[in-house]
Amino acid sequence: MAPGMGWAVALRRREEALLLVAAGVVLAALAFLPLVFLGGELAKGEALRQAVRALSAPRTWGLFLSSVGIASAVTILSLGIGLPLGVLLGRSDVPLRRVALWLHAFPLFVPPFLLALGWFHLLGGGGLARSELGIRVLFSAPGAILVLALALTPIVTSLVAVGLQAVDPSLEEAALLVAGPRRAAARILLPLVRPAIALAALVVFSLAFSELGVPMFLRVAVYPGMVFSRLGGVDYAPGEAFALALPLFVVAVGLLAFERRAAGRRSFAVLGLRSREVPDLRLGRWRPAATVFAAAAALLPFAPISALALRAAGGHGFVELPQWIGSSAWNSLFDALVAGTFVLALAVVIGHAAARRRRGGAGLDALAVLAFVMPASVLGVGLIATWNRPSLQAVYGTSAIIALAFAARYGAVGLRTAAVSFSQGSEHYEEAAAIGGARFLRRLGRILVPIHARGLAAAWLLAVVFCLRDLETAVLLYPAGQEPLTVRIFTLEANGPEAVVAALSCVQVAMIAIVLALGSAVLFRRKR
Amino acid sequence: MSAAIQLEGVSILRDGRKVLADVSLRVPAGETLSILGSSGSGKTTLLRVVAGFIAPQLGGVRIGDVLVSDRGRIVIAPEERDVAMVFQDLALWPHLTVHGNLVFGLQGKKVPRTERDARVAAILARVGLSGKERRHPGELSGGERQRVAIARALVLDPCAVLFDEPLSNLDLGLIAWTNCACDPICHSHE
Repeated sequence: MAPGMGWAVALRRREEALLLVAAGVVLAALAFLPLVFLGGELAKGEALRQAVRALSAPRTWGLFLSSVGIASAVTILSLGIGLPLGVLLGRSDVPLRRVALWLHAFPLFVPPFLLALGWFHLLGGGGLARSELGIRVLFSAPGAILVLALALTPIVTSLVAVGLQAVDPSLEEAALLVAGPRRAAARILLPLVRPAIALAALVVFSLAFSELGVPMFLRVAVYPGMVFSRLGGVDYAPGEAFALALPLFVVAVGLLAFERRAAGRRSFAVLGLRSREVPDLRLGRWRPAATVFAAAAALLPFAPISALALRAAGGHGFVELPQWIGSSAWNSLFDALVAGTFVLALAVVIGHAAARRRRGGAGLDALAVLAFVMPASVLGVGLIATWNRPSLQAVYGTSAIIALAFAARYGAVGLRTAAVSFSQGSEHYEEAAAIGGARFLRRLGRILVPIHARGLAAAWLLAVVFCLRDLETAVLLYPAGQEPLTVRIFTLEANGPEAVVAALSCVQVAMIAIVLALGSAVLFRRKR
Repeated sequence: MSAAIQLEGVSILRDGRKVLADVSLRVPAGETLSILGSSGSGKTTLLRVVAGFIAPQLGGVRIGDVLVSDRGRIVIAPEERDVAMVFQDLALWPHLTVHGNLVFGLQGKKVPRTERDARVAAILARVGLSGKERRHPGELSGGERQRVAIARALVLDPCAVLFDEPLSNLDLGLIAWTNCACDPICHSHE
């Protein structure tokens, strides 16, 4: 055999391992390298002095604790509403519960600060309710907590509902033989979905802690806002921003440790979308009250969205829209589609490795989760430290930096969805292909991807939608003239015409709704 | 007589527990070996070691004269071992037709198209599934699926076929059919 042939054969024999190494290198470059460069910036003399000064100021830690408090309150409130709602919409005999779950889940895909804007138009002086008390509550820490809790509760509801649908019906039936539906739900079903609950709590806390748009709009000082102001505002001091990002990084590592302990690999097993029908939990005399609760949860999020539409229509916002929108909607869509596709490519390889417990799979999964739970300002600051140099302007000066940042931050969303899909399919499909002579790439292309097409499409769709709703990552990195729609709305919100901002918000909501509707149509197409 | 499959002191440890302890056996070419044991005794693990999905921590596996696994190392990957396997859950690829399931391995071996089609037609005739080439696994009965899984293993003309509890999900009628059908088919592949 020629020497070249020997190498080719050796490479082909290691296709799976080589592909995983390549995906791992890309993920590390996206999610880990920024942290290394962040550390490098801090090691510089002047930056270190700024870091010591910033981190020794009492206001820094006061704001940090206040932000932890807000995120904790949002998490507790979301769990308080989302857990019972998850049981009701996931397994009970509430009428139209699937429709209610879809409606309730929709705000999850809308940037939360648009909902805050909608609540302002609903409650404010020029709004529909014209409530002085309402507006005072809204522009306060409790107001920010309420807005964020309503925006993020669908995470808890959806994960609990889907987790409950995946529980083996025989476990529930065994409980129903000796207990009523409420006791069976509280003592058997909810403990079984504990990994899903833990994951939901983690995601809600991470997103609430990272949130920039809602607190800044509602004039509530938060820690990520302080980091942002050092990078883009009048307090420009990048060295301090690097220093202020450190405590956020520690929080992210803590969240990752919590995720590994409380959910980790077990979340793969409970989050799948099983097609099998399971019997509904009968609510008996509680059904009417539960129906009202479910209906309120489904319809409440549409109050602020409707207020935005009315404000836009009332002030001719839709008429003036073409003057203001520029290319921002297209930028949003382009960045999200590129990043989502990039995430999917990583998710197929790393998600498969994580689901099948290949060496390195768990470590890469943890890295992706770390990037997701890490406040966007830390990742953003790290990416600036990595890419903002003259030789890399082809990336940093274009929308490529946003796509890379999105892929880093939301890689875990696609990766976990793909891993859930892979872990719920029999490993024997791949083994049968391997024993039939197919190497990894052929198994991937001919067997794994077609069998898991629906799960992988869901991974792509979720990644795209999370990128579309993003503000926190994009606002730190967008190149001049290429801002996505969320950033355009956020920057116009302070001094742009209210009706136009409302109209732009409606475009953002409509864009997400259309992507979700098209994606769902493909996902839920009748399958052979 | 040379052995088709030979295990030499194979041990598998899982969580500190020995799933297989110092297993040695020889299966001469042309012979059938049934492995019996209680649930959890390691029957499936043994087959997966032979197929190359698990590397034994101790001992080695030979197929023909070739050392394919050796002390924690897969020397020859499953796709190069020239063995076939009928899985307990059959593992028929749901997105491919019966023809697609059978032809997949032959395509990988670069068998010419005309020969591929002829071999698929012949094996389907043997298992009584002629005319069902275009059906998907979901459109077949349990017994038909079982026969497709057996045909998929045999169409490759492997040096050994591994059956993982091939009769566990069948009713008595299908068990009798499988026993009768496999015997002449297997012997015709010797």
